[in-house]
Amino acid sequence: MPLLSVSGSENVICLKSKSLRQKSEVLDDETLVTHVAAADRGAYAVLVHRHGLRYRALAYRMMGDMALAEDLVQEAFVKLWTHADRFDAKKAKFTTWFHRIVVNRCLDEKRKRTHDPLPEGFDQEDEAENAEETMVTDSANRALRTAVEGLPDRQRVAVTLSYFDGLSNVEAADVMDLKLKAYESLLVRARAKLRDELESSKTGLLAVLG
Amino acid sequence: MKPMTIEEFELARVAHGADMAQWPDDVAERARTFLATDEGAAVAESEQALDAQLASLAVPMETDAGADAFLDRLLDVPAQHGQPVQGADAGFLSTLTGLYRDFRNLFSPLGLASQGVAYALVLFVGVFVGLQQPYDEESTLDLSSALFSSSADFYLEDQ
Repeated sequence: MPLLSVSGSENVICLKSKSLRQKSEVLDDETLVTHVAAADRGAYAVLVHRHGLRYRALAYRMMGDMALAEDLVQEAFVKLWTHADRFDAKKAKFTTWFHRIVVNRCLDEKRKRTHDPLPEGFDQEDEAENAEETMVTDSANRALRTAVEGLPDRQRVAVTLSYFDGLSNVEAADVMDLKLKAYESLLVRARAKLRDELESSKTGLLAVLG
Repeated sequence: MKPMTIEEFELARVAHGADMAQWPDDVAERARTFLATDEGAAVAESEQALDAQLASLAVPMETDAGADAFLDRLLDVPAQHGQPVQGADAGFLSTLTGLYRDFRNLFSPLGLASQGVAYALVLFVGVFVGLQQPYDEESTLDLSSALFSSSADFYLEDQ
């Protein structure tokens, strides 16, 4: 029995008879998306296994809430399944296109939440508890995480894409729809702000420790 | 050689990476001169410390307990969301509506060309239909007689 069969007038290769592992070794993302557009669940599953957790991590770093990050990434994958035909491999790589979907969805959600009132019964974080936590061994990482969370949205996206998601400057600029120079300037501003924040938190910690 | 500023150094580091061996020769040369100063050394140390901290935060988050459950959720998407039926709205009308679906398309070369063709088509049909109508002198109406007679009536009534 052939592993690949051709169906329809558009020579869409039906991959349903191949195992996921075989597919992931053979096909690139862009080809898989064309199969998803033809309702190939197997191709969709490969993309999920290949990128699902990466985008969950990206959304989590932007939103700081795992449950919300998972919901947003699921919405992005629903869009992939229902609108895969809108992807144009000539214009962008799959990862760039999908990064845009996830990042824009996260930014939309953040904007929405900025205007929403706090839910009833919401308690602010205990400042005293945070002060104690800053003295534990990973206080530097904690301070950096806080500093990253405190960045303006676009700077936070830039830091996340470049340092946590491993995109090149060119790819990240493409995701954010910026010219390369503009993206690099944004990243420089973000780094400067992070350095300032870390410096002030270090000074504060030293003052607490006497 | 123009001395490098802090801003230039930071921008070069972001653009070319931490490894100065990868930088363009002229930029690297200016950077080495800058780093030889106290200010430059302090900036470089601060940049390296930030890079190290960012790298320590960039640990992959793909092995937690909820990862498998999350992937299962994603794999259920096709069962819960149908794809739009391919070709259901195919045809001229859908192509036309597709063109106008995205507002930016209106001003793309294709959008402008299609608008031009549409205007020309309407103009041509209008002129063509107009030319098909015979010129009929008999159908010309002269309302002046009725107008004058009614005016005369009013005038006579006033008298």
